[in-house]
Amino acid sequence: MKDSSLRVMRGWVHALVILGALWCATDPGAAWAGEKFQLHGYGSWSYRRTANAGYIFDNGTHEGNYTNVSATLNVAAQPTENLLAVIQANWQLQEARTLDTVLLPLPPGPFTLPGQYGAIPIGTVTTTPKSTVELDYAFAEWAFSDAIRFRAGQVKLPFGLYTEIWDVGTLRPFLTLPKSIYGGQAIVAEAYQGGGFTGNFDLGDWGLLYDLYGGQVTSEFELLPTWIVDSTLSDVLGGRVVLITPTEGLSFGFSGYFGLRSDSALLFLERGSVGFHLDYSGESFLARFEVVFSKVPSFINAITGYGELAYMIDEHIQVAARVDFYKGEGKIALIKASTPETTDEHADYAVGLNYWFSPNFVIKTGYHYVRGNRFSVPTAFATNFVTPYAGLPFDDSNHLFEAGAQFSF
Amino acid sequence: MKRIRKFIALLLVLIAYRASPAQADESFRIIVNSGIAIETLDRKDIAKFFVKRTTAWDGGESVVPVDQAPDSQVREVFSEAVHGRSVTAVKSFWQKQIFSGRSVPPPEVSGDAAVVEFVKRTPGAIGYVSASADTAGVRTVRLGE
Repeated sequence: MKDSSLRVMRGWVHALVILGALWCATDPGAAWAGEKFQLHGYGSWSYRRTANAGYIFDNGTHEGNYTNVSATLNVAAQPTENLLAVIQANWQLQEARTLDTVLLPLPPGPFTLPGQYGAIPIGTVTTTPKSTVELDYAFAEWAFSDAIRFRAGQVKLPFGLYTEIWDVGTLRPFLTLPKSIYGGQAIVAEAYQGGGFTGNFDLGDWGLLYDLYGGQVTSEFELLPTWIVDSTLSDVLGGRVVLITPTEGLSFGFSGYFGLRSDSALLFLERGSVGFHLDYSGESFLARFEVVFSKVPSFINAITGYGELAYMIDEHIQVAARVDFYKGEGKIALIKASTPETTDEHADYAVGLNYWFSPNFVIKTGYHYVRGNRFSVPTAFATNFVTPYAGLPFDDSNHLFEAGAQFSF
Repeated sequence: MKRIRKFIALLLVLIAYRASPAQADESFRIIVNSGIAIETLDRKDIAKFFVKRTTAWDGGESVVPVDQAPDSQVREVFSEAVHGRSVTAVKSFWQKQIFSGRSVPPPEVSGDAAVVEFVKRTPGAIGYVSASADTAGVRTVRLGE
């Protein structure tokens, strides 16, 4: 059977498994919510296709990629009024891309032995499904009062709007998060390992929520779609303040963190991010805005952000729009010389049309017009950093069509 | 005479309008555990109890809210009257709380009798039932502004 046919069949199997889970998820009783112990979860599947032959963007390929599946289980226990313990694990199935190579004798030279063979790229890429399981978080929280709660373990990083609900598709209007902030820049992370305080203050018609934490942060840095390094930042101090306004559904806040030591393969030094967010989540209308400034001294500065709107036409149909931007300023001469300038830029203009069967089950479609090559890169370049680029510019525009389903329970 | 009739008609309309909110309020009642010595609660305070922004009574005892099933009529009325939001909107709020590890929603029970039983046996508990429910064994609280 041809690879393309296998891919299509695999995609349908994934879709059927997800739909089967969705059938269970739409039952309001599917989540087990007892007095002291609760089980919840969420999942997602999408099909993603780009218009540019040979370019990858946000797991979308020109051939069409069905293999974008994730599922998460969340277990929360509250054995006493003061104690909350939470564990969440995530499983993902995505395409992994590797460069096809052929063994050929290497030419003689100062770094080769006579008769030595080497793996030489032949310019094509093989994709295979890759399954990963990760611990999202595992922590316990002790509530001294509403204003002071202490939590320790691996805790969701409180930054901006979406870090704490990173993969929960039923809490956002598009299938994926904006790449600018949440797209593997090590600007934000999903969790920290350490301890922190959180709480809320009742200010009459206003409310104030805060987080203050310290420890270690591990985040993914996507140098290329196929070259993702884990970057662990230690000696971190961070926090977030959110003001809840008297207008129902309207809040805004400030977030930031800074760390002193990193042990990634690229030897990042200290780095930090600061951001502002605004969120209006009404009954029918939703408006969200975030802007973040991130600095890795001697490596890169970046300013990123997005704005998104969504409107429920009726109780089922939702329309959405989003503008997402990233502007980086790289500081390493070698990298700047070996990549086009457009790899420091990204703009994504997206529209979406969704059908909500219920708040727990939604079908989403979206179209993205992408400018810049920070995230839209040639497949071969993404797999072999050097070979395809010989001073030639990349095609700096691309289009992505996406469709999928997301559920929670 | 015409003016008097118009005035009376206007007065009747105003009386009917004033009567409507009270009529909606009478479609459910707030109940608390008999150990909670309270006569009146504001809507805002009740809303804060049910989204767990406030977790303790004035005396320091923990507040233990209990919800009815999402598809129940009384929950729908309670949600609009107290939260000012639909049940769907409140469920979305709880989704965010659950998956960010911040909190867990109040337990959900089916029917007025189950709510009364929960509130009766749970110190610090607060719930809501339909206006016609049998509330023997628990304290009924007046709904303030």
